[in-house]
Amino acid sequence: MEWDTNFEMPNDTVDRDTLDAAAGDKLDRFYADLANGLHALAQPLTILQSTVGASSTPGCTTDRQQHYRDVSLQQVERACNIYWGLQNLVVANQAAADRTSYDLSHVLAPLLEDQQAVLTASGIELSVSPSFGGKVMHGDASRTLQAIQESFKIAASRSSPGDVIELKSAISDGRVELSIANSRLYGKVLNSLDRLNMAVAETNIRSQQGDYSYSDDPFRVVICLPIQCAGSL
Amino acid sequence: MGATHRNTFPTVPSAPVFNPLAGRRILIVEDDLSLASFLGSELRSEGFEVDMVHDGEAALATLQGGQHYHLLILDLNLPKLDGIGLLQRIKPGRPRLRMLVLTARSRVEDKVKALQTGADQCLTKPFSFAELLARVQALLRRDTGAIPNCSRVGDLTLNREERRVERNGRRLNLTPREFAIIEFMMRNAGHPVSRATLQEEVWNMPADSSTNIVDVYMKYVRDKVDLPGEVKLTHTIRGVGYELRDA
Repeated sequence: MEWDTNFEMPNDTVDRDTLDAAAGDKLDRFYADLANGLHALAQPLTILQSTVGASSTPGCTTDRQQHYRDVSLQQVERACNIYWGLQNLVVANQAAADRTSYDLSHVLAPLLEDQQAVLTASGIELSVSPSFGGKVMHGDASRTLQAIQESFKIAASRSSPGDVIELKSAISDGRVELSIANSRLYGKVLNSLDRLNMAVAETNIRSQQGDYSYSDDPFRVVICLPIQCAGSL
Repeated sequence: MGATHRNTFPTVPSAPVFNPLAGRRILIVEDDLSLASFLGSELRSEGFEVDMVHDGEAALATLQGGQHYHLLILDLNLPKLDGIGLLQRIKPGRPRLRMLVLTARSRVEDKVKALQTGADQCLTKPFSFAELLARVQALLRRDTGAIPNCSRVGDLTLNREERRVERNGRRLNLTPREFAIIEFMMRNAGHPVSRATLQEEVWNMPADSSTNIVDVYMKYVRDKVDLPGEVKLTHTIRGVGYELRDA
């Protein structure tokens, strides 16, 4: 496996030890995320191993076999989703992010249109403020899109009719800060697949020299990304 | 318990009607809702009473509540309070509670730590329910031993499958609670059984010295087992509890 070790540090005078420490941190985070993903995969595999064994046991009734088939189908789908999450995690760590200019509003417009439709159909309000026009970013548009999309998906899955999901933005120190939040408390933590997908999102943002953080309950994601410098336009 | 469900796993014999472990209460502590639900459903179909919680703090609150459990099935990787932390908190106060730890980490150190903290067994995910069931049964049998269908103490006989108790050919008319007391006393014949143990095993509730319910029921049992003129089989052990023995 080839690792993305091309760390662009903001300061050219950063010494070798700092670079090594950053690479070490990244590797540690990857191993931790990978371990959590494998832990997540163990859950559906346990159920599948049990249902396959049970349904093939002599004496298992037709009804019971059908029940085990139904359970197995759900768990196969779940296992596949976790597998894809693991694959995305490896790719996000393995491959370097693009370093190109893109307009954030072009990335967000179709996404917000989709989200508006999906959330409205579920009785959830989407609040966006302020507008994103004219913010030219420097990084990887597809990775940014994945991270924001995943954050919306999880926010929606943890919302009920009548809730409001807010997307806010602010600019400071040459970075744009996006926050996606539902302020309602649910008393729940993220499930293992959500945590895995959030780890992929985090990797995608950090690979662009961005920052990423989230809290489970109330659910809130904060993404910071560098804006295109005037000199490099 | 449906006989249909009991025939679905190779570890369960196809014909048995009498399940000596049926009714044992299990608490599942697992944050993965699908897995917890699946395990709970399968264990219930085997005749166990099952409760479920999904984080360490909820498990601690449940165990500190009034319900008595025979076995704890515990995932190590839990939100709020992890499995090891939970074991450390509950084991000292509940030394008789059997604990089966589930972990997705196959590292020896993790298992050693769990076992040293009080777990009786560890099972690494992914596993098959058939193996989990076998381990659950093995752990619960440690407390009960291999229970035969029939037991005898002197001329007192008990048939578990038929739920029949006779003394010298005279059938005893027992309530379910009285039957449960005699059944447990016969499993421990020749050994004193404390009031606290009877409360936990027969009433399925934590020991509570403020109630004399055990003494009340023991009098009912004694009146039915030991008629005037018969050799006394039920004995009070001062400061301890009761004992069933032949003379």
